Amino acid sequence: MEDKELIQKYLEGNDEAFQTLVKRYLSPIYNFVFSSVRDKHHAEDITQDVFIKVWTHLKRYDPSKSFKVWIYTIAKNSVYDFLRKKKDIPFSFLEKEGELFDIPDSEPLPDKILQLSDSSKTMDAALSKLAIPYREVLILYYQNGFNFREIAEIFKTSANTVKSRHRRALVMLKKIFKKPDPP
Amino acid sequence: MTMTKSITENFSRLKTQEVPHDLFGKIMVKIAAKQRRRALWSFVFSGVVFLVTLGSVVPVVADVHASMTQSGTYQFISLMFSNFSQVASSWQDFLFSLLESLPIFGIAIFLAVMAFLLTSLRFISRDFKILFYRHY
Repeated sequence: MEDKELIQKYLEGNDEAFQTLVKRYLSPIYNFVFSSVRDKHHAEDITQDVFIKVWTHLKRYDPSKSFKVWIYTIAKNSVYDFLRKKKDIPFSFLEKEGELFDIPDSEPLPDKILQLSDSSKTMDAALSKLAIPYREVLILYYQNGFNFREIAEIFKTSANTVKSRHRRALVMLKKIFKKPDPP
Repeated sequence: MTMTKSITENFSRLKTQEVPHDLFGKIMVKIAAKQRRRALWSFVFSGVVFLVTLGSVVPVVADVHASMTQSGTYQFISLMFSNFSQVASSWQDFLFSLLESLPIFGIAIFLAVMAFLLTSLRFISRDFKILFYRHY
């Protein structure tokens, strides 16, 4: 059954429909949150918060839009709220990302960079070195199957900004992989 | 192998974090608690509205009844049963007089009170189910 049908059923009074929806998105949302905060306890708290917000605002959900994009937007906002409280993320970052990273867009794309990552652990470690918005773009694109337009909706920005952020993220990953490990 | 495929494969190799076994339960318990809190407020509010409207039903009905007696509405209605042929022959005049005699304002108040009464009853019934019968 599709998400929208489940929401419709829940709004008509079927509680099990909402439980199905939670079960469907619990693991993806938990993993998405974990990839940003990298702490199991915080990830658990934020995930709970996400689903409570979903339940609270479900009546306001616009069925003409994708539920998956909607719930990930809530998750992203919850993560940012948490990080803002922890003061872990400089929010000027999103506005001035072009100034902060000296990586030209014209640099050739790393076609085999990720072949350098020989294990999930290496890849995970490399991702953890990326700034959160870059990491999130990669996770959403490659792990959660969103396209650039949908990611742009989640981040409330343009698809071109997301494409640029994606390219920069890959270049940064390449640099991380190329860097020799300290002895 | 294309670049995107290669990257996607690397991402698929990333270890998925296992969801804590009790997380689903915790979420549902928190939602249920929030729902119960919301239902409790709604139950109290609807209860007050119900009692106030219920208390006003009798005076409103009495007022409508008095107005209908005073304006002769009952006489018109009784004429309809006692002398139907005469009513039928001049039904347009009769209908106009009947409508004119109706206490429109009083009837509107009565209908509003009934609407509030039934709506609050509906909410009370819904909230009662949430408070006492619904379990996640």
